[in-house]
Amino acid sequence: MTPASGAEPRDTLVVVGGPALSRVDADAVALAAARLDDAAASLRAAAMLSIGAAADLRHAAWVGDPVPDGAAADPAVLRQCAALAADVADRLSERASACLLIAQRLRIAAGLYRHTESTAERVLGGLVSALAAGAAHGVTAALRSPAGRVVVDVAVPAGLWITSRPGAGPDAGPDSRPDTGPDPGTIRVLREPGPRPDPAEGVIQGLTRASAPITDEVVAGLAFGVASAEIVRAGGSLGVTGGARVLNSAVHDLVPASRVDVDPVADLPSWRPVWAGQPSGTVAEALARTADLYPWGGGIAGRPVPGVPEGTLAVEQVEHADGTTSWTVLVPGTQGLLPADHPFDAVTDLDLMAHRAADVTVAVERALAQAGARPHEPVVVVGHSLGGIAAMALASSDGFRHRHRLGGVVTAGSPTATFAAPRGVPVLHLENDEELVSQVDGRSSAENPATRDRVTVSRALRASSAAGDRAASGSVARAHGMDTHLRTLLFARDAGSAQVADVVGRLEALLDGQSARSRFFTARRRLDVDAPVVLAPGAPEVSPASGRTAR
Amino acid sequence: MSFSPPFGPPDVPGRLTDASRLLDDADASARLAAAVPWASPAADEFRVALARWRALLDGDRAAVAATLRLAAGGTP
Repeated sequence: MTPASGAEPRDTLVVVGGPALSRVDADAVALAAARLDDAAASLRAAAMLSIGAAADLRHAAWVGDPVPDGAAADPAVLRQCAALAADVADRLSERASACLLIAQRLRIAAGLYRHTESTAERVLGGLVSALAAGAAHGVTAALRSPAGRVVVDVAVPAGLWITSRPGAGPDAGPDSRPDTGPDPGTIRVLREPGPRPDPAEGVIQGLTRASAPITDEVVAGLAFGVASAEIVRAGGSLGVTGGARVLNSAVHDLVPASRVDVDPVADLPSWRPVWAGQPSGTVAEALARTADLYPWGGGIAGRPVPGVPEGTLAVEQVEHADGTTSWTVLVPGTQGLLPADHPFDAVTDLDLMAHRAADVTVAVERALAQAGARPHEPVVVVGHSLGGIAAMALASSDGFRHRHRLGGVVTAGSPTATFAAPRGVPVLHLENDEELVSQVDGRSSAENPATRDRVTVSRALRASSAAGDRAASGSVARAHGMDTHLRTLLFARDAGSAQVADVVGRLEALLDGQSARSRFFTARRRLDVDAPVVLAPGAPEVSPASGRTAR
Repeated sequence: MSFSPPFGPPDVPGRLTDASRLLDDADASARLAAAVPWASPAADEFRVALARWRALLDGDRAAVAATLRLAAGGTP
């Protein structure tokens, strides 16, 4: 269940997956935690006795009841005694709560804590899914009618044109630019960042917090409704993947065919980040660098904004002390709804969620090839939002793993539950309830696939007492921002989670090295003038580049 | 465990004595929990937190004893 509001940030963590403790250790930890549960129960009973004693003493002071054994009889002393007993009761209750918290933290650190939804949450979730499915099925069926087609043919292109104009992208306003400081290239994750002004206070914040726990059910229901109305286009999948395929097909019926070109950026561009030429070293730094690849920066305090062009991704060639080489690919997220010139857009989001060939995965493969990555050299793919979905699409692609040795995956704020990860490859997902984006796969973070190698760390920001978390919990953009995900990683490491420590340790063995060479590539979308005119959708083909079904 | 008789004087000292005994039980449980044979940084942090918590119990025990003394006609 979601912790009560006002909890310490580390107590809002949900960690699933990762290596289990040995049977002996797990039994010992479970026994220790159970003993603390017993201790808390004893203290609560002691508190109740003290409350009873305080009530008796107050009553005796009021009516002059006799107290046995020649005990205090003066009403003033009895009242003082009652006050002391009441104070003792408060202290013992507080101690019992602290004891339960220590037990919970022990279970979290040992990976024995299981997040469970309450019966009320499950019932509400089921109801929401059913309602959303019914609504989506009705709307999809209506849009298939002749009148519906007219609406789609006019409204969708108009909407895409409006939202793809400059300045209409996410976080395009001046407020989205982070502070720049004199300490370039370093991460300064503020555990309690000061609140930033947000025009969308009040109602929107309340709606965001209220909708956070049921987003996954809403999405799952909508996807089911859309997919069941167009079962052929959904490829037989009634889940999020099927729903995304239906929407994906509809969008590709409307937008012109295109191809992606990947061009290396000159070695010394004017916007070259200060960290270029050094290995990321840590998961946190790799994520922060990924956020630096947004043209408007990553919103992380103290980091300068390199001002990279839209559609840029980075490839780090890391040389290790033992003479081996590994590669780190940094892939940022969506940078516009439907920009004309690069593929970091909503169409790619749909392509990826539909498990179809996507321009960004093609771009990553071409960038690696141009950088000279060889098949036996491990590749760690780090992505935020769309970039994280692309990372998992590559991880689950047989074709990609045939051409490269996958070393690991890190995602932040990405809906990844529909993708499978290969065994033996460390995978870390950072999510939170309030960003809403990571629940677009129709599953809550606690329901993400969990294996020995695949760990999801999530938080309920709305339950946190930290000012930064409270502010982020009322704004999708802030909750989805990299600084929020970095705080989640920081708290998970502070909490001593054995699962997080294991997967992060394995990833950082590849991210860190003696030296590195950073290369930057821009992915550009060009109209494919040679593409044949498609009069009717045919059977999907398999992309030679990504190994996935071509759209 | 002491309960107030339905008709007659309430057993305040008895209740507080029981509370003190339960507090000792809680401390004993916590001492056993601290002895968990798990070697990891998280386990070390757990033991530190538990030791800090048990130190607070000493203060609680003293507060219960002072209340008991006063209720029994002595001084806190």
